[in-house]
Amino acid sequence: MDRKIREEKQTSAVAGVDPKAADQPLIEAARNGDKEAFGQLIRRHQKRLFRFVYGLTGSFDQTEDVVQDAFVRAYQAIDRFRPGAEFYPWLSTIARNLAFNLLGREEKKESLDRKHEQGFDPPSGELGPLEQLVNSEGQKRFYAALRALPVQYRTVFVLRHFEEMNYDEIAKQLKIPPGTVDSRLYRARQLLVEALKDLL
Amino acid sequence: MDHRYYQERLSAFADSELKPDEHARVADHLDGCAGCRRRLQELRNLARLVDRDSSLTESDYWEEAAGRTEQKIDSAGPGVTDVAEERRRRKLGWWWKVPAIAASVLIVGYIGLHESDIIKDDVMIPPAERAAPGVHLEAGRVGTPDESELPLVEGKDVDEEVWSEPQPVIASPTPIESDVPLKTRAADKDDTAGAQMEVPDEGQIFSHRERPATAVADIVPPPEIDVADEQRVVSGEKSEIALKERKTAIPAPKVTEKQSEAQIVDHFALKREDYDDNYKSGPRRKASASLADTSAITVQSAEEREQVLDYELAEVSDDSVLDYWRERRDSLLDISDAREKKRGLYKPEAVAGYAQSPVVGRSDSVGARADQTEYRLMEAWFHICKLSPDSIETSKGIEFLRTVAADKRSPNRKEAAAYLELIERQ
Repeated sequence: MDRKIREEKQTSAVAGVDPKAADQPLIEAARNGDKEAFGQLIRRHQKRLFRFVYGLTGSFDQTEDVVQDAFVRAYQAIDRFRPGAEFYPWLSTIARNLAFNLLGREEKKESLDRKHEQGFDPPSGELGPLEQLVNSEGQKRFYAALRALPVQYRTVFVLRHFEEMNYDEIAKQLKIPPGTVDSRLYRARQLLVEALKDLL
Repeated sequence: MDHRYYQERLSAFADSELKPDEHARVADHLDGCAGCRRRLQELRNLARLVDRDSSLTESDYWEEAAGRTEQKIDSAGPGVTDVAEERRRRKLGWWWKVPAIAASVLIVGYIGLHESDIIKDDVMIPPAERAAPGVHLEAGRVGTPDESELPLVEGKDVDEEVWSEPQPVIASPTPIESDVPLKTRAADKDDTAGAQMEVPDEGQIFSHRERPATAVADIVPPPEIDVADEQRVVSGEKSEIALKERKTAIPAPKVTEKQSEAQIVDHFALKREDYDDNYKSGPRRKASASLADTSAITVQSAEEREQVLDYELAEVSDDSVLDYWRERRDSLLDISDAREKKRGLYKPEAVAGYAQSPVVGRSDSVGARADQTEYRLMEAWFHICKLSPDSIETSKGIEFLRTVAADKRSPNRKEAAAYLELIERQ
């Protein structure tokens, strides 16, 4: 399991209480119209969701829009949320679909500009507004390298590392064979290793 | 066993995604290979780096962002909200709305001023007839025939029904699947908590409902290459055709200096089509399908899908073509592995870990399908060798072709030799 996700779950949970269980009273209150309770859910999950969506889109502005939209839609549909289920997977599914919609509009332009394999652009280091959310040099280098990946590789990488999906789940989500998931992940990792060699 | 076989599996090994026998093979190899151990360690270090450096720091930004989201929730109605879409619409401004309003006013005004001329007895008079005020229309008739269109039927009164029936109005066109935004359907499929996505407003659905159903029927998405497809293709009649084909094989052309590369590739294209009728225009078609037909994007209407296809067909880059061939290769390898393992004939050490000819020989239908897969693999490798800048990848492809060319039992050995010749010419 991704160590960072484990830590986030621990820090976001009430001490000694399972994070999933800690969401349940908030979800129940939100279903009864308590917007403040939903506000707490936003604060508990927005950082993790933002990281995931940014990994998909590579754009700060688009990520803000998608994250905000995902929470709005989740609130509007909260009365249909199955009690007892985990909140974050449902929320990230909404955000993932929104991000893919956005990527579809943008990918037309990107497919002509992106270099693959040896043509991979070196990370520029320019993160723009994301700079306010990353402190260390390692964080900046990582996100610059991630953003520079071709979108097909980046998508698979993010689904694997940020969302802990296995190859079959990623294949089903992207409608590609599991072998293609393997090869894209392999290439994504090769490129990142090359870009971040001195940090490894 | 080719060393690259193990290198390519290190990523899946690190993720514990290999099948047990493969995992054991790679683990055995790692015991004796320092290079692969080093690569595996790099992958693990990368995973640790991601854990450490992907986290976003605490900042006032989060509280502000949460506040904005809460405000949006307060102001959002019960309907669908798409923040990005709203922003895009706002950017469009009023440039199109003013002329549209003006045009509407003009049309309504014109109709109002000329109502008596345009509409008579609740029937709209065609423009040609408006100059002939003496024409009388039967109630319910839609227009009246021009005199020049009257059939020369003696004794028939022109008012009789000699005209074809008016075109029936398509009251309820066949529901078009793309009427429902794919994001709704995708969410339904992936929704682990059972909640549904919003029902879109009417205004969000593109106005293509008046399209006749044939417009949708014309847009036939190209078949995706997957295991099920390949199995359907190769089973039944196709395997018989393949058997016949092997007996009366189109001889491979002699590769001479005078013969152009295009001629040789065309020859292979003809043979390929004999094997696989489902194969369309190859890379371009697949490249265009990769966006329009995957969940990576949501296509709101058949019209938008056409636009995506047109765009990509016009501007397919070499990288897209290369990706197409790589994906085709990967699919074929998966099919081949599955087939061979099912038969218990998997022998990865024979040819760089790729699909093997069945030990029992090639005369059976399974052998014929293996030949077809091998042929398609050769084609994919050939194109990859031409396009890929990765020398490791191209050398792997060349090795595969050499293996096929050296296999006396393979009906594809001559083609493999021809491919090698073409590659060496580059």
